[in-house]
Amino acid sequence: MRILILGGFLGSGKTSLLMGLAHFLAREAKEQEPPRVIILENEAGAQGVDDALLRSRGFEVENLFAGCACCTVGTELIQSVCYIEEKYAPDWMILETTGLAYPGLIRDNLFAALNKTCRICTVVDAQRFTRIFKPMEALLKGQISCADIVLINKIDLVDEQTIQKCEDMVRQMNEKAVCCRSCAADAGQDEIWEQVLGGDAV
Amino acid sequence: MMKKKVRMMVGAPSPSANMPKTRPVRSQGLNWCTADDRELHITVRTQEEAVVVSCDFHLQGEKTGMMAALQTEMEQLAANVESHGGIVGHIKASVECQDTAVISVTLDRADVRCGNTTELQGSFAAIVLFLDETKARKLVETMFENVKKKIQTAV
Repeated sequence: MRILILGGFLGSGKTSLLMGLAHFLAREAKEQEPPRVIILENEAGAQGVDDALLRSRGFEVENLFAGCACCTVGTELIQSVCYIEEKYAPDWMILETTGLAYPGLIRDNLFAALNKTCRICTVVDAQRFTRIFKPMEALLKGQISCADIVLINKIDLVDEQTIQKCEDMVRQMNEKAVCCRSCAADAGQDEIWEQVLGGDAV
Repeated sequence: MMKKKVRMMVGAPSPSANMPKTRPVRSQGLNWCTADDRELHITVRTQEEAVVVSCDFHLQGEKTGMMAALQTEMEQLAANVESHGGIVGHIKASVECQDTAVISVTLDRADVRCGNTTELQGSFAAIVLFLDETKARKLVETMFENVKKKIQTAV
C-alpha cells in the first residue's frame, strides 16, 4: 500500500484537487475489483463539511477519527492505517490533512510506527500565499519544506507575476520538490496526477 | 447513483470520538429557526494559533433566499474577521436541502402537491487566526442571527 499525504494551508484547495485525483484513480479501477484507493480525511471543525460534498459526488464516506492527524490523534492515525491496509489492501491510501497540520510529522509518525514511507503533496494558495506568509511563516515552511511535490494552486485567479513570486518563495523553502501549477478547472488533467503520484499511479 | 470505486473515510474532531455525526440539538444557545425552536449548538476550540468555530444548523424557508442569506452573511463574517484584526483561514458550510411533495392517485391521474418551504440542514465551520475564542464565537453567532433576520423578513 502506497501512501500520499495531501497537505497545505487552510482553503488552499486540497479537497477540490482531491476530488480530481480521486476521479483519476477511480477511472483506473475496474468494477469487479475492490477499491484501489482509500481516502482518509481529517477536518479541523467539529462537524465535517467537506465530506458532504465528497459524498454527494458518489464517494463512500465514513467517520474514522477526530482531531489533527499530526498531533492529537497520531495514535488513532496509526491504528487507522493498519486497519485500512489489513481490511482493504488498497493500492493507495491518500490522507488529506487539516490546513493546520505538518505533513512531515505525519510521515515521521508513520515511518516510526509502521516503517512506512509516504509521498507528500503540499498545496499552496497562489491567491493568498504572499499575504499570509509572514504571520504563518513557520507553518507554511513546515508544510512546504517536507514536500515531494508542491502544487501552486488557484493560478486562474492570479497573474503570472504572482505565480512566479510564489514559485520563487517555494523554491527557497524546498529546492528538491517538483513544482507544478494547478487550478480547479484543470483538475481533470492527468499529467498533474501522474506527477502527484510520482508516476506511480498503477 | 453508482458509487465510485474509491472509498473515503472521514475524520472530524468532535467532543467525543464515539459521538455520531451531529444534528441540531436542544441546548443553551440561539433560538433562531423560523419553523421551530431548535437551537444552535456552537463548539469552539483552539488548534495551533487558529480558533475553530463550528456547528450544525437548520433553516426552513424559501430556498433561493436562504442560500443567498448564507452566502452574503458568510462573506460579511469574513469581512468582520478582518476588521477585528484577524485572518480568515477558512469559512465553509455544507448544506442539504429537502423539498416535500405528496403524490396522490385515486382514479387515473396523479395529483402532486408541493410544500411551500424547503428544509435546509447544514454543517458550518469557521477557522480564523489571531482572534480570541470569545470574539470568534460572537462573530459567528451574529452571522446566524443575521441569517435568521433575513429569512424572517422574507417570510
